[in-house]
Amino acid sequence: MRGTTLQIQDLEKQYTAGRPVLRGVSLNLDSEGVTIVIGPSGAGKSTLLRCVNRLVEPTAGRILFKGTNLVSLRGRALRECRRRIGMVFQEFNLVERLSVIENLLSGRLGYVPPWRAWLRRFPEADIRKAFDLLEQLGLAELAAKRADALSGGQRQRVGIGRALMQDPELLLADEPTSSLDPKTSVEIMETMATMARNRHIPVIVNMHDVNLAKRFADRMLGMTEGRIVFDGKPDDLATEELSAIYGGEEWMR
Amino acid sequence: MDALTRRAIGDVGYPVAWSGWVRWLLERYGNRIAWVLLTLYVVYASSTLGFTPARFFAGLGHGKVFVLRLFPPDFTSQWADIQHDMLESLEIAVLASVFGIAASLPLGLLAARNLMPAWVTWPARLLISLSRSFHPVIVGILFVKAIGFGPLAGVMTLAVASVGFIGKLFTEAIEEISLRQVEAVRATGASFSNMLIFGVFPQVTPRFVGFSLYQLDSNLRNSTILGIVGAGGIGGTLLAAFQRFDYAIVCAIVLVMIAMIMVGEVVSEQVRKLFQ
Repeated sequence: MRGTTLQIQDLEKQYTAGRPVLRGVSLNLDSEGVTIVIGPSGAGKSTLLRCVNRLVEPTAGRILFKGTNLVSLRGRALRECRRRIGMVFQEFNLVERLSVIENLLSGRLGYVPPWRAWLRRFPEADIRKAFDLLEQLGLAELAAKRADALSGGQRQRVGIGRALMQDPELLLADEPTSSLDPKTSVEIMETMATMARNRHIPVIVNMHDVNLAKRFADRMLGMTEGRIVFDGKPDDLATEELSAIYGGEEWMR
Repeated sequence: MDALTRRAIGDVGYPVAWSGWVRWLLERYGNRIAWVLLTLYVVYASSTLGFTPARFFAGLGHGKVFVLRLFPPDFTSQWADIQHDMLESLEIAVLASVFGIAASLPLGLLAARNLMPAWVTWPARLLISLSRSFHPVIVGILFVKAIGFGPLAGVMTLAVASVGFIGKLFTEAIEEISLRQVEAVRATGASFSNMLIFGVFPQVTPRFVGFSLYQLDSNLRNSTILGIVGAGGIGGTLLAAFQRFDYAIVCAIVLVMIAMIMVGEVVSEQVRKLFQ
């Protein structure tokens, strides 16, 4: 069954008054599929993603996540929505001094009380799920290693694992491959797309690499100066559209 | 600015107005003026304090007599007192460290500007800097006057000193953490306390342990001086021995202090390794 997971309506964000980063973004997201957002640096891609799980406070507009307006939520209600949205970061953002398995389990922090978090007494089911995921991500032997001892690709796998531990209904990925080499980037995108497909959840990915984006996207969005200027299939994205998104054509040759 | 640029922008090299003269002088010779002033002050201060080579060499004679009378150290005649007071100093240091650190953890957190709003950080910062504003000996005198002679005053004195010192260091450590890691933990929907437990504490624990051990070390040393103002510990015995010119006892006490502090050093080094 296909439905709408996310509806963004007239979303605006200004970090400093008078300098809008998002200028009225509207967007509907189906309940499945990989959506990749491309656009020049400073176009507002990161801000858009961070508004969805409210790491950044929107200035105006509505974000309906399965019917709930995220923008009006506060406190516990906000956290309960947030834990249903997984996020993967450009710099991985793992807790460096904690082990791989602890980093995965941190995906359950929205569900466990502080004393359990403090004593690392996570429920049996969570621990089993964490080890299962490590197995699927090919990290089984690294469970006890500290996160800062891993390579970039391994770290991003842990990052994906942490997001999936949340049992998310939506996955956000902010330039997940920008800190990785080309081969690892493809592997990470492969992993993320497969995992999302198996779980029937939609993914929004920000990306700079247009070719990599075309290879994995079901739908592509182009952003420029805080607006969505392209919305369509990867195959519809030709020279003309790209020059509208990034400006100029010289860079494509 | 080199001469060419100066000419290019129409700066004639000498100022016209009075205030301009002062600025010109400071810019050109400020460094040299500061050095000359410092030298003059040092000479002046030395002369008022009688800090002269002649006075120093006269003092050396006394020093020789003093050092000769220190040895051999007398461990036997007052050993029971020395032992009892030394253990009391140790207890004061350990208790003060435990209470001081326990108080510093929440205070340091409340004072961290990257996690707390300004109306929380200000009072916390004020409390921490108040605790640091006086030397422990002065705080010790206050506590002795307020709650009476004895080790309780000593414990409270050093606990206050600990809050002032490591409270500030804790705050700084928390303010230097990577917010990326915190952001990621926040994105999982973690509550504030879970965010602290997984996003903040792992980043600061090794430094906290280091600071705490340093404070324990510092409290060990300071606990030996508190007796001088009547706040318990070995200091009282040491002062009494000095006043009786009983230098053999003084020497014994000093050697025991050195031994205790060295043992403390070894222990804290081991603990530090454990938390790396």
